[in-house]
Amino acid sequence: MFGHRLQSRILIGGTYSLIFLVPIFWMVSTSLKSTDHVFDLPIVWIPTDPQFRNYPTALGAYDFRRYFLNSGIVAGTVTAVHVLLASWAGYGLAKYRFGGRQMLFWVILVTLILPLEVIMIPLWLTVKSLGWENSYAGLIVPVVADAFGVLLMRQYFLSLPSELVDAARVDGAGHLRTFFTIAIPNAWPAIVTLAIFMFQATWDEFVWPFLIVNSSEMKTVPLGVQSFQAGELSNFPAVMAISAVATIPLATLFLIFQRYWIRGVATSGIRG
Amino acid sequence: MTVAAQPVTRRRKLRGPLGRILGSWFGPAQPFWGFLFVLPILTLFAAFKFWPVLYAIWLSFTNTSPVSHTSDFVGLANYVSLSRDPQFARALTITGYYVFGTVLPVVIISLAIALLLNQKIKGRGLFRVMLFFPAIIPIIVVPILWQFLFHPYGLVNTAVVQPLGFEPINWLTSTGAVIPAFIISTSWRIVPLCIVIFLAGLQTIPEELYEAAKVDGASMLHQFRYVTIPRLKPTILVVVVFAMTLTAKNLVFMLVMTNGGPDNASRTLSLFIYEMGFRFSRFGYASAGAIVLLVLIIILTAISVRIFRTDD
Repeated sequence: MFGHRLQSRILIGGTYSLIFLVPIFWMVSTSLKSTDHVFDLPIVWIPTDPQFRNYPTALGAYDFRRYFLNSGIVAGTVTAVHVLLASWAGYGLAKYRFGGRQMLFWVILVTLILPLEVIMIPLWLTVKSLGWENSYAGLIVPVVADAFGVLLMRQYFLSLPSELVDAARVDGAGHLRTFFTIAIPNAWPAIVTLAIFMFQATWDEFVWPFLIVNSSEMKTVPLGVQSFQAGELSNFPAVMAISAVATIPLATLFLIFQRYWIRGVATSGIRG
Repeated sequence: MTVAAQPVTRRRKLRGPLGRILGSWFGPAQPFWGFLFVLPILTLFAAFKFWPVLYAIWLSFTNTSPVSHTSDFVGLANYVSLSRDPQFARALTITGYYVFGTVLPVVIISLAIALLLNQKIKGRGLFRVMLFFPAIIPIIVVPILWQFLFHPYGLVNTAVVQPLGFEPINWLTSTGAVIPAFIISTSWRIVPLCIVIFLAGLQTIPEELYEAAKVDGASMLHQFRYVTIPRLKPTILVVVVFAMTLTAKNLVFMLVMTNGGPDNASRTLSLFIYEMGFRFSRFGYASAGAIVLLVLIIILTAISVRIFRTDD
């Protein structure tokens, strides 16, 4: 009786997914065409003579190995430091009752609606006066201050039974020791979720690196892609090849940590 | 005064507002450790979030510019100039068009798809993964890809516009089509994210509520109107604020696709701030624009909170 409804639902679902996937398919398909066949009509979805050469040629034109290294260093460091500091803050806010704790939480929380674009000029001036232009410090340190992790970890630690923490404390464990031996081992799902989220967000960041990096050797992948696109404007296959390559790390991360990735997005919401 | 009396007086001194705070910090459970745990990230927040906001407010009252080497207090002059600047007024209008033009369809489309995916249908896991793909493309790739798709001979024209019997549209080079083009490409990117948020919200609605509604003879539409919507209000709020801030601050798309053109038709507030600041080095004037953007985001967030506030 609902066979028909089921079919129509799958049909609708399939159509929606198609709309979302076609541009990505077009990107990959174009990356394998030769420049004069990009706009062939009727549209050629699977190139008959795929130009795999487009990839090494495009990658060789710019120092993408360096860009990937930079992105890896920046995103990796930001993720590691942010996870530690945000876990500390979330733990402190959830498991200790000190005056002004609520206010502190709200002060951190409101920064969720504060976009970089509002503070980019003073932030750029500050970082410049610290001498951090074209440096890892400039790419890393300002980005670590993000409220999402504090929010997520606080929420998680609130659900951690206080008895566990108190028991460790009674046994004579110090505050830091209790954090590392009791709180952290119990928080792995939240930590992985946060780590995936932060890594993706940092890897993806364009505007901030764009503002403070102008030397080629400090460029991250998004900056490399942008310079490549600006330089090879009409070479559609090459630009699409670079775009596809730039997508691979995040796509791989997504396929491995899908569940955590999606959980991060589901809880992030508000993070602008 | 006896020695024994001293602790008593000290304890008495600890009363009062200050005493309460000190007591709440340095009591027997050593709550000050809680603050110590927050301190490292708080320092970073102070340096790279709070300080820049104050700095931006101060800059907006000055004529700071590295070109003219000035940095004088000019009072409200920047704000007065902004209110008389036709380019700024235009940027405000365009931002409004772009933000509202994106938020409304994004909320409706993503809610519809989320409702569909929340049903027990075969292969929904696969649909979810496929639908999510636009959200894992690096953000810089999105405008680059759509720039090609919006090309006069690009996919949008050859696969959608022309088969429907229309003339091909110069999406990114005609003043009327450029913002719709931004709305389409932005939605493509953020709808998957909003679907995920909506799905998380839908899963918090207890099944019993629908069962009860069915027993009472409520139609699908009534269930949606009287069970889903009220229960989903907090989630709708999150999606609205998320989509709003994301579009209001968007700079990547403009920088890559149009640089504000054609004829300034896609010069949004964030691009206005960027150009005033980094192209013309008018830090004071640009900061005044940035403060306006911040105030707008705060107002829009507050309005959304009022609209979608739940009573409990």
